[in-house]
Amino acid sequence: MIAFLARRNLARQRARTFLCALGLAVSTALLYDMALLASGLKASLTHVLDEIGYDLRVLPKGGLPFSSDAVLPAGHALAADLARLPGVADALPLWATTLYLEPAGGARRAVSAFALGLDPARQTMYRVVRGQAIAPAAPAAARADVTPVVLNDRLARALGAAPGDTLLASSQVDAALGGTERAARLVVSGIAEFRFDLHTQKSLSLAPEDLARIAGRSDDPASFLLGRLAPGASGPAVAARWAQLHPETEFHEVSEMLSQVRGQLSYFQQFSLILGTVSLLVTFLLVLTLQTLSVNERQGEIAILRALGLKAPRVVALVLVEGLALAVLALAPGIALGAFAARGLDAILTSSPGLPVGLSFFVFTPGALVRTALLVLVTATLAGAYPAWLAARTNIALTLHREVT
Amino acid sequence: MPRPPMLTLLALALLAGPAPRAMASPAVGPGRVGEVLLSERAAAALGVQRGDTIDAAPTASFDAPERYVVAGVYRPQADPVEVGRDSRYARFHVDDLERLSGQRDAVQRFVVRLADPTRAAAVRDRLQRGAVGFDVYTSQDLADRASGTFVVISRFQRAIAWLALAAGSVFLVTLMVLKVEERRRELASLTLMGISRRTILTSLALESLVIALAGGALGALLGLLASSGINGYFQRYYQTALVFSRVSPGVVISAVTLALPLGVAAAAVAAWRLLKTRGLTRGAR
Amino acid sequence: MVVEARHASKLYPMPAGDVRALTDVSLQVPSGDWLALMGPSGCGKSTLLNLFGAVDLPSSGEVVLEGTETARLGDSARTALRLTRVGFVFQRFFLLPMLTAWENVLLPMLEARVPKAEREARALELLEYVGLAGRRDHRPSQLSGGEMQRVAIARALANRPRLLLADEPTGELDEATGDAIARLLARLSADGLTIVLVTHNPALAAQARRTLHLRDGRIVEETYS
Repeated sequence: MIAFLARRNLARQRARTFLCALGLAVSTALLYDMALLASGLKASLTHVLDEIGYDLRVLPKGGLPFSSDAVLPAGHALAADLARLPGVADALPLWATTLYLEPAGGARRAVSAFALGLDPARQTMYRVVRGQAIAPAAPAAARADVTPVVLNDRLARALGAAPGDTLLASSQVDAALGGTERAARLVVSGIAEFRFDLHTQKSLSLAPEDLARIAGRSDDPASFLLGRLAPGASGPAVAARWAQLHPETEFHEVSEMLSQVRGQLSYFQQFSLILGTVSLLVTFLLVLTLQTLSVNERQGEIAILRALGLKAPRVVALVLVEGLALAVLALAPGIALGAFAARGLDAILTSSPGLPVGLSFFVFTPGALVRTALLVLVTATLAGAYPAWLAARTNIALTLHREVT
Repeated sequence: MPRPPMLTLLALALLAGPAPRAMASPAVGPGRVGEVLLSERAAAALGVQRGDTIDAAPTASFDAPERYVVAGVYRPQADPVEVGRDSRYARFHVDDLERLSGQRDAVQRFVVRLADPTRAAAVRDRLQRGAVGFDVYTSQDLADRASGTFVVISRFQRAIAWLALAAGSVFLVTLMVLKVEERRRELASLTLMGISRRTILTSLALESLVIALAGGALGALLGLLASSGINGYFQRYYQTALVFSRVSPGVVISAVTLALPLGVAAAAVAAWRLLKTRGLTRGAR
Repeated sequence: MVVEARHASKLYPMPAGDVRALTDVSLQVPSGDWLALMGPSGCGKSTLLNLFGAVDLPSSGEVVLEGTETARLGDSARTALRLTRVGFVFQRFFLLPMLTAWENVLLPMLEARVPKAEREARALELLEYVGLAGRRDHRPSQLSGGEMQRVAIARALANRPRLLLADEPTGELDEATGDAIARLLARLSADGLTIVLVTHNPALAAQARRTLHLRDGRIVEETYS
């Protein structure tokens, strides 16, 4: 009967119910967006790192991957040391540096690019979308005259290059000649999407030994090592063994690194907490105001219901259920509106110049949806507590007397 | 563009994460001692102040360190990009840095002072046409690029503000409608007495105007207090002088300009709807 | 005995001074009785009705309803008693405006958890009894005053109460309509229902078996029809 009466009470004041539900829907949308934002970037980053698949990083001390030019010398030897540790299934070095490229036989205007030296057979940092991946078969020396590379689309367009084209590459430019010095010849094997490209970044990848040769480096440099734990292996145990072997480096599990970037993500978490709280406050006030006014208007009805035999706790339940019903009405449209707004908000934030293209700030997670729904429903129900108390303490005789006079 | 290095190799050696390797030395040894400026965070991490000496090296193993005296501790300019980061900076003389890093005569940028600053854009364009391996920017270009993140954040917050404004507007309209409907019997009595609808509507509109004005003033005050609280909290949390929230006269005028007509219109529409229904004269049974 | 007052008094504390609504009232209402309460405004008629219906409690003395002293019961128990033992009819009808006539009659049976088939049949039966079966789907705003009062009476009878308490049931009705309500109440009394009625209408009171006259919270006279 409570649900029946609540339904009828809300239906008889359609404009009022509609307005309240609309207000609740907008604040639900805001709350949902804040729930998505609170964990979105971390979820997105975790997803990308999971796709990369290597759950360990070994870095020069004091930085995050790609945060500086610092290198680990003898990268392959270090990777072999890491791979030999109990609990480590695989390890490979990665080196990043700047190369200057120009089309072979084209206009002499070098384009600088971010070059990633990574074993093409085991890499997970890019995905080839046109052409072919780099064939790992031929040894570096045999490939010395023509080195296969994959480019990102931005670099390919800047060079006017397609799979099969030849490029010249060097680690130095001759400002006087206006072109590259001692250039190596590259052949474009494919066009790829790189997982951590910035919006304007021009990237390419090739085998690390090829990159070292072109850059004139004999120290086998590595910006960092990627490692994969064996199933069931303990990251801390591997870390402890590694620290004894190579104390001049830093060892991180991916989950640990995510907490290092937490400081930079904390602004959005704080922001979402503040704004989420404000939206809950709006929800609370809206239901509280509507229900309090409604109870005050319906004193006579409440008194007659009590006189007819409706117990005080049932009257309380009626008011609480009405508040809950308003929230239920608003939930689906609110979530839909929030999802729509999240797309626009994400588009704004992901246009940030320093952000890799594959990351998002607003990432759907079931947890965010459930949290939003629960918070809205509980808040709306609690907001009915004061008007429910008012209704329960209705003095039947006095109220009926007042209604008549 | 290649990914710009954020810290030099040397600075990394100084700022080695949670466990900095450079230690303050109690005594200045023989030989040349250079000078270094440290940012506040770097000095705090190293536990040094002006006049203390530190060792600096290009590698974490501290091979062949050099000794420097802390000539000063400075606070970097507030930068939104740095919010949430525990960045630590050190400033050396160029020749010291070249020697430490082993990179001779290689720099990341030149800064150029023009005889005629108004020609900056033209000079930039001319240099860029012949540039190989470098890019040219005016100071304004750099400022625009540096504030890119900040501009994005501002756009984001403006979008959020519109959402919050929508929620607040619906709340305002709902409240005004409820307020009018609460006085259903009173309006019925006035109508029965012969008071014209126009008079009743005008009276209600004036009432709503006063409530909206009072609400606007109170809202502005609450906004100022909240803004002060937000700035205090975030500035302390991120140890920055950046202003995160500012209630400008424009913001107050915008909010009041939106709230006033909304509130008055909502009350007027609700009253008009009530007055035009026959049921009003029967009162509430 | 359906309801009985034993030296019952009711005092209302007020900031400007206590109001003694009833003073030392004793009376018995046996099963099947039709009792009318009359008197000037403020004499305590409605207060006595509220005490009989366990809507309110005496400040002193006792009110015994269906063998149970109401003051010994908690709010929940008194409410349960009202649901199944007492029916109320008010001057202002107090039908729920968002429910149809039929739904208003169903309401007490819903709360008493009467099975669906039984309560629907009973609601239809009651509307037929009061002559409004054809208006079952009409809302109160679509009914006349007399029709609303008849629906209110049907609602009061929903859970087969032993006692019907009516406070000025014809107060808002014209003479003809009031007479129709009076005839309905007479029919209910003839069917054995115990009725206690507050009224200013001598013609209605004359139809009751006996009338109590109150003044200043006391019974001053009892007359028989």
